[in-house]
Amino acid sequence: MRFVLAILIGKLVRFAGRFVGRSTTLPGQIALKMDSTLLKKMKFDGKVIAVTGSNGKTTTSNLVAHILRENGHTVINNTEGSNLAAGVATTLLEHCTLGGRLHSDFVVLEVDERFTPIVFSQIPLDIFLVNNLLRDQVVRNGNPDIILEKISQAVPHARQLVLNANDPISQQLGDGREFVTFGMARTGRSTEECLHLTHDAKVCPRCFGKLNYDFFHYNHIGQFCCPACGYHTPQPDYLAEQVDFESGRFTINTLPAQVNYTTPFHFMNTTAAVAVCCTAGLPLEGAIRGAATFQVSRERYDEFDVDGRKAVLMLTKQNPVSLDQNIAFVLTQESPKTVALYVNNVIYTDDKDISWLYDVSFERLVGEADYIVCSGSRAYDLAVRLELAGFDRGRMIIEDDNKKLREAMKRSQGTIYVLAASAFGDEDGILEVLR
Amino acid sequence: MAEYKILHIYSDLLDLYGDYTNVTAVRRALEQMGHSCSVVTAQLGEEIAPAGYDLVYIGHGKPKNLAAAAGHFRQYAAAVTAAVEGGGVFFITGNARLLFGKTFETPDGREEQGIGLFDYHGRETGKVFTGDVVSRPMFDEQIACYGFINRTAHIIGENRYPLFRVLKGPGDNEGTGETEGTLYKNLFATWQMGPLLPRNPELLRELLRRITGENYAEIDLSLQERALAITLAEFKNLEL
Repeated sequence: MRFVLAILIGKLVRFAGRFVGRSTTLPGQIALKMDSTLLKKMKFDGKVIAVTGSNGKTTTSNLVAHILRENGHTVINNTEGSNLAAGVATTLLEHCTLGGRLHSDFVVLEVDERFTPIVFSQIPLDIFLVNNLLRDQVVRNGNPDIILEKISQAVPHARQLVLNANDPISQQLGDGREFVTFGMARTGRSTEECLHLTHDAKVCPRCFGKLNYDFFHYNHIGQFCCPACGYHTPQPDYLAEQVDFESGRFTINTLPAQVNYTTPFHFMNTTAAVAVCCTAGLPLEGAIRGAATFQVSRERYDEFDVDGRKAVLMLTKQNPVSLDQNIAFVLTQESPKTVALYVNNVIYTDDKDISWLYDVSFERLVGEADYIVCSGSRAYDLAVRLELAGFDRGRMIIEDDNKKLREAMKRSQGTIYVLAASAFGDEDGILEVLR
Repeated sequence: MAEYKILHIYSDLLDLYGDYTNVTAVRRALEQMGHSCSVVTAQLGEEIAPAGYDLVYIGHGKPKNLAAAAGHFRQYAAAVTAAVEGGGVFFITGNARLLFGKTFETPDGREEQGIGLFDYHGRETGKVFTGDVVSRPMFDEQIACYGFINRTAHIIGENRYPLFRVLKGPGDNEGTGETEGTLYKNLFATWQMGPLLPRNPELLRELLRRITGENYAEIDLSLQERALAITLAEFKNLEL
């Protein structure tokens, strides 16, 4: 009875919440408070697929859901990125019957790494994709080994496991069990040396000897081999090859495939999603066809005008890999250009730590960005970091007062790339003054 | 103009959250003074010979990686101890401190030996502890420093040579908050991690004074000073 009541209240709060905001986690929170065993009592007619990892969770889980729908299946998924236990509960509450039954063919859940053991000790897990593991927000995640340990507690619950053949860290989750792999062959953008300061596997995670790489796709993701213990990139079950960054064409296991957003990250995410869908029973052709029509969500990307100049807003998480990806995008754009960085205190805790900025490869922007604007509450700390990266003070515009930012921008030139390191919502400060 | 040499031990193995920039900050500052500076690394399996270096640096690492370093580091206990006792300048951040104590626990429950230069022990808590730290260094208690702690272990046992008097945040462990770090002769060690020297110009200056001696020259760190002042001003309850 308590269970049905919790579902009913949860659904009501979800409905009401649509009009007042906060609807993506509050219903789940309330329902879980009313019945802490709520998740355990949910009944699934179809398969449950979970996506976790440091970067690309939202895009990849949306991709998986999209491919399944394109292939005629019914899918429930948490599209809004509400990936903690209460967010997962909210998604399930919205779609379940009053008896707690989910009728869809598939439930696709993006789940925060730290919450995977909690969620999947309670609901069945058919296919578990771990996309990658890289250092993330220091305040929340400690270090990548801690996250690896958390996810490893969820792995025994998964009937099938899909892992990244190019990631020496997360691939350890397959130790002692069967798993499916995806990976990408050398591309035109692969590098012999790691381009990024954030490189979490300079040493072999098994034997701690120096790890060798044939090439890197990004950060520590690449083709690796340990000369001491033999740990190496396996032949992936689903392999992306022939990647063309101009057209977005590539192949997966030699079949032609297509993406409409051409970064190494996205080619890999797409291959991961195809691997998951094939593991779920789709034929490879169908999965590839479904992936081709996926549009990358532009909610973290926006174009607008600042005093007659084009400005591009890219939201980035407070982690170095996310900001490195945005820098890589800026580097492909034409000059002249100004990079406006917006960095505040750590979200949630208000800590003044900015150590993660020292793991971002700002060095790559030296000589590429005509001006660099430091803004947000940590503007001066950002300037200290950029000076260490090699920026000339004459190229830096420092303004920690949002109200004066628009005026300060006038001292710069070219297209403005606003890289706002925030979670969701607190980018308003910079948007208000620039828009 | 003088030539300076920095030894960065385990730069591949112990490498988290921008720690390497402590080395970069010293190198840049020496170059600003008109000196030249080179950085040599010593990785796991390679010989550690700190004699002859003007600064030895070891950074914060994942606990499993630190455990992997312990046995190797012990092989060079005599050379490291002699260098410290002889007045060599060392800068140690994060859990690398545990290599200099008596023992420390590893994440899988084993006990590793340190080189025993100091009496403390490292205890693995299994929990991530993070937070801001504001403190005054013992070498000049007029100065305030800002740092950040991210650890799963802490130190128990006596620490006779503290580096900082803590005003906000934890000390050597979460229970006793009064002091943190080690300053013994010219060895500086602290739980605070990441870009400590880029963010704390007076700490950088003190280290440079000890490295350069009579070759020391004042350099412009006004941007760093302003950034630190803004950070410290946000701790409204502290009289700094």
